[in-house]
Amino acid sequence: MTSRAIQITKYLLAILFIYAGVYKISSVSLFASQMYQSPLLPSFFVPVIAIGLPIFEIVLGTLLIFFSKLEYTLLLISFSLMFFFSLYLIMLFTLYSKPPCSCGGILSQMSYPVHIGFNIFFTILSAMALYLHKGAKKRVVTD
Amino acid sequence: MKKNYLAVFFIPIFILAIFYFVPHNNKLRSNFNRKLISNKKVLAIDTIHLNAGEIVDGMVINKNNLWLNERYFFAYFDGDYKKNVIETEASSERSPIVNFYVENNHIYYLLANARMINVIAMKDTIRSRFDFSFPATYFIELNENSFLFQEATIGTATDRLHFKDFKHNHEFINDSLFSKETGSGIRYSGSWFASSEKTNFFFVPQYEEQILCFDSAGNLKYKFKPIDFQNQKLEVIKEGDRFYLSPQASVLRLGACASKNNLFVSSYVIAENQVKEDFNNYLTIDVYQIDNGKYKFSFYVPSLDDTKPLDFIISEDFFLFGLYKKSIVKYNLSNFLVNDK
Repeated sequence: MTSRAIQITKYLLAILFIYAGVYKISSVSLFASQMYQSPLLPSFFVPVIAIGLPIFEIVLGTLLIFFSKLEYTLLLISFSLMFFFSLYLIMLFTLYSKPPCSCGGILSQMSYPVHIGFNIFFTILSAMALYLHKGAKKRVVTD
Repeated sequence: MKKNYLAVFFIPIFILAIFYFVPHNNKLRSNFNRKLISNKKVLAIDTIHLNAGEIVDGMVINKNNLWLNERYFFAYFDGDYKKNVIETEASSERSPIVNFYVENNHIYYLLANARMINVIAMKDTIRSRFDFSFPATYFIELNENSFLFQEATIGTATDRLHFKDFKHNHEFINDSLFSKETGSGIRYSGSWFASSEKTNFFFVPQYEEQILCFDSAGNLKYKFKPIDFQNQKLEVIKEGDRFYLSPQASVLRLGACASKNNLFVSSYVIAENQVKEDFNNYLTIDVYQIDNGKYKFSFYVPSLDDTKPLDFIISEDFFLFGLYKKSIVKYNLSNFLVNDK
């Protein structure tokens, strides 16, 4: 049961990362131009993120599906990334005048509160998967 | 193990903290000053609430009635703010109303992807049309039956101006004003509008630097650089069959109009003497002399629900109608505009 929950979480995260990554890389100019409008990102950093982030998301999503040996590390990275995205959106929503979201596809269509809720849900999901993974590992050691 | 958890928790916070505190290079230069009118002088006096899902794509004032382009039909408000609707043949997502004018009890409008100006006579709702042979993104009526078009084939051709007098069957093309770069149409998004007396016709671009003024024969009368002039590099990028402006391109102004002897141009460039908080919370509008483009002063229009006005229009009796996401707010500018010469 525990391992199935971890598997489902991994696949959900993988779908999310691959979808967002492919969408961003398929219209990389648009993605970059939206990030240039972000008051939080230094403009010299945007070209690096515009190429690096979608590739990172696609690689992470693919590894989540095919490399179960790295499960723990990948879940840690996924949690960290989702936590980063959630904080980033919360900062934009609370501190600035809400520039367009550059997540891409249907994610960009969400309002800020819904998008923040969506990200927090996936952050909690990856945290739970980490917790379950730790519990499962403990049980294996005990057995 | 504990170290790992701490790391994944604190690394995002650390990165975002760096982003927040690192000085952000503002790409837009602010080496100019504005003569600012106190924002207390812009008074909201009325609000028209828009229905959920109602999209307004342009406003026109005619005989003190406010007209709205609602993409598939026109709505106008009389003196008592009673809403009236005029239906059009625009029906699908692919051919909404692009722009329109109301003159002498006639509505002139252009649909996307259609090579004709449609006309509706308001008295008897008789419909007529002016056909032309080129694709156009904007048009403006110069005289009765003569128009200036912004001609552009989306994605491929260059932008150019096309004057056409349907009465005398006379036309000419001006392709020297806009760039000849392929896909350049995207560079020349902006507002077209006429002065109250219909002697000056303006094009105020969103990205480009120069404001253009034409006479009623479609000839360039003068052009000028507004005070927020930037000289930003505009590069058109092709991806598949779509064109984008270079990501660094910033929108400099969204919305402009003319009233009496004033040209009103919004600005998204902060001046050296502006308080950042005021600039973020208000839309800055610069006022220029209509005859020569000489800068006069600037004023603020407030934001609503954290959003600056998306568009605005000013009547001849100096009421400004600011378009927001969910409403249109009427402001009285007569405190400082009526005395202005």
